[in-house]
Amino acid sequence: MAAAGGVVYFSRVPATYLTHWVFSVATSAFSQRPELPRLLNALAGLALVLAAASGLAKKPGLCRVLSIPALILCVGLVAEFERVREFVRGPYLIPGYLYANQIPLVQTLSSAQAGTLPDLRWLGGSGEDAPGAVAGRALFDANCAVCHTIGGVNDITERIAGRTLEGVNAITSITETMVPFMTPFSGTQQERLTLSTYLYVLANKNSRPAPQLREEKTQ
Amino acid sequence: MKPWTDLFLALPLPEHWLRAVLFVGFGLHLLFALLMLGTVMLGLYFFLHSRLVGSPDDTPWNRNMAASHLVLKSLAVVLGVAPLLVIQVSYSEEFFTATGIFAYAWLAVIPLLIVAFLSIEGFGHRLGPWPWLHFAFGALGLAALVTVPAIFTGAMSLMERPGLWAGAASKGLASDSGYAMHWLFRYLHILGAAAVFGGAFHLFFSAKDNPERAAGLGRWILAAALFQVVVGIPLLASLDSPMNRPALAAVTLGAAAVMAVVWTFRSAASEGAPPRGGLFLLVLLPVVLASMLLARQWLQDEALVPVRAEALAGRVRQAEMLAAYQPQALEAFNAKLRTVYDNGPAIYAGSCRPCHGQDGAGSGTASRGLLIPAEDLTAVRADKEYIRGILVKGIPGSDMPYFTIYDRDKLDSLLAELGERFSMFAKSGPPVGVSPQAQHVWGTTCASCHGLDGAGGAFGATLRPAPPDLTRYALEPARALHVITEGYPGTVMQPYRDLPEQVRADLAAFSAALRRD
Repeated sequence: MAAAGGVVYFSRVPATYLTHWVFSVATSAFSQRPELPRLLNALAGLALVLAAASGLAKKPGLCRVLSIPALILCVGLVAEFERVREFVRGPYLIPGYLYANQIPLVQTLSSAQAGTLPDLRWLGGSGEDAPGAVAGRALFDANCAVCHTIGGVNDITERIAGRTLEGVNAITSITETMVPFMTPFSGTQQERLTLSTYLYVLANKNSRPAPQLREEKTQ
Repeated sequence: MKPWTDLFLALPLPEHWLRAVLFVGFGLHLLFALLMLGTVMLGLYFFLHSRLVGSPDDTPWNRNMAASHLVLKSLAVVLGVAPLLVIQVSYSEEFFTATGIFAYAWLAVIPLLIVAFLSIEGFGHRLGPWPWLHFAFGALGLAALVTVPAIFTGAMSLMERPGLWAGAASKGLASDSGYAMHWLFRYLHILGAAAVFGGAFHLFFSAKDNPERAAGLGRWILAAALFQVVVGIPLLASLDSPMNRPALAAVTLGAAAVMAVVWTFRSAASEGAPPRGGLFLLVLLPVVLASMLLARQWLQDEALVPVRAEALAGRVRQAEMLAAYQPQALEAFNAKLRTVYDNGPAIYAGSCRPCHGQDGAGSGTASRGLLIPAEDLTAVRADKEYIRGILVKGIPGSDMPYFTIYDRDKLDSLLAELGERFSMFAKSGPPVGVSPQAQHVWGTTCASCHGLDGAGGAFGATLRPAPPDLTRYALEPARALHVITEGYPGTVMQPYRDLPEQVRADLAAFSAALRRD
């Protein structure tokens, strides 16, 4: 029944999202070994079938032994499904309405002119931080912090390590197409530059001062 | 306003119905939470009492207490769900701001309740000849349980004081002493109410056949009711603004009912006899609960109704402003829905084209600001696995990111697309005769970074970006000549346009011929 539920569920997920499932399970660490999640799932399925078969064959001792790994695997499979479910939403929390960072699609469009910072009522900072750092952190919190952390899981400083300031700035401008499950930046061009500079400095704390960001040519 | 512009405006019930659900649901939740808390207080009290004064066999009472706690707890938790959901919808700004400021304490409610419920369960069990273990379980359970209303009353008091939010968020909760006093007395008032209602509950349900216990409960209720009066006066004084008329009327009614309760128990307590007039109590206590809840509701409305109206007006304004963007947003969404990132062309279009451009020449729209320009892919002649390495690791120090978001199968299809579109994996030029002068320049100048064999020297490996491994990666001679002549902007590769043209051309051909695969 669970398998039937799974088939129905995944048949309803659009292909554009479903294709992320391998990455959602393998993560960056194992994405170049896509056979691993498939193999592990097949093994887990096999273990469940064997446990069930031993029960049907009325072999209580064998069934008891096999049900222990089966139970543990079930917990793992539920965890895997939760991860897949997160990724097959694509960049949306509510497809067609709300991005994963809880910004409505329409607001992303309007914020290109109106900006995101004026809408943020709760800017952090101790009052001792530079205004650019406060603004950069606020934009990070609003745009990125639903998925990325600073120094934790999915660490943003690791993700952009090695990029130049211009590279970070280019990435923040194309997040939505570059990574199919990443949300677009919401805010004005100037706010995006603020965020890029903040992130670049964050990822390069021990290196030389940042080179000047070249003025973007407007065409 | 169209419902789609803000999903949270499409309420399941009319707003006043929701408020009624909230009021009734919260009232019931509070009633059972008070009965539960009062039960645990009484459990520990009678346990200690019988240990210190009376008969030491107390496990039946403990079991009885834990059994009624189990039922009351379940009702309190279940009846808490509806008000929690409704308050999130009806007062989203206020509720999430207050609980957000209380973040860690708010989350601590869950482990606190787990510890409390398990400990109280342990308190009710037969634990062998160790009374101190009973006491430890009971005390731990009660301590965890009484912490929860402290968090709730703090968050609710903060929720009703929008003026304090910013200060509490930046400087901490203790920044306003008026708020702290109100929180303290409101919390004590909840504890006192739990003692009154829990006492009354057990007077009816657990003390029928035990006149001694009934007399004790009578004294307990009397003391708790007097405590409520004593705490209630400073609680009223610590209110933010003068009370509105309906709230004042409700508090007066409630206080009068409490006085009647005190009067009922006064004589019985002084005689040490079981209290009489139980039915009278059954009428009075609901009056107390309802009138106090109403007073609280009217006070809360006074503080929150303007905030709520302002928030709703803001949402309507925003929805109207955003409505214009709806067609554009849906169009972009549908376009994205049609794009499946499982094939080379789609991945190139999404992830590579922004910088390398549709024609691969490195002139995509996102590459305009780059200090290190995107490479002209049509000029690259390289080993496929080397390019895969770049896709998986990026090029540190440059603007080329890594793409492990694509699994190996997807990168395979991207590599196939790159080979087909730009002949990136074609053989580079055949080995050529190189002039001695060019060989000399290679050995003395180029090799310091690129290494004599082109694989990159020890010094080259320290550069960010490091020079490419020319034994696996070549550029078409025309492009190589351009790089040698003009340098590679943003990297250590400088322009060598002072070299004779023939030497540069020879070097270009030479570098392309270094590829070994």
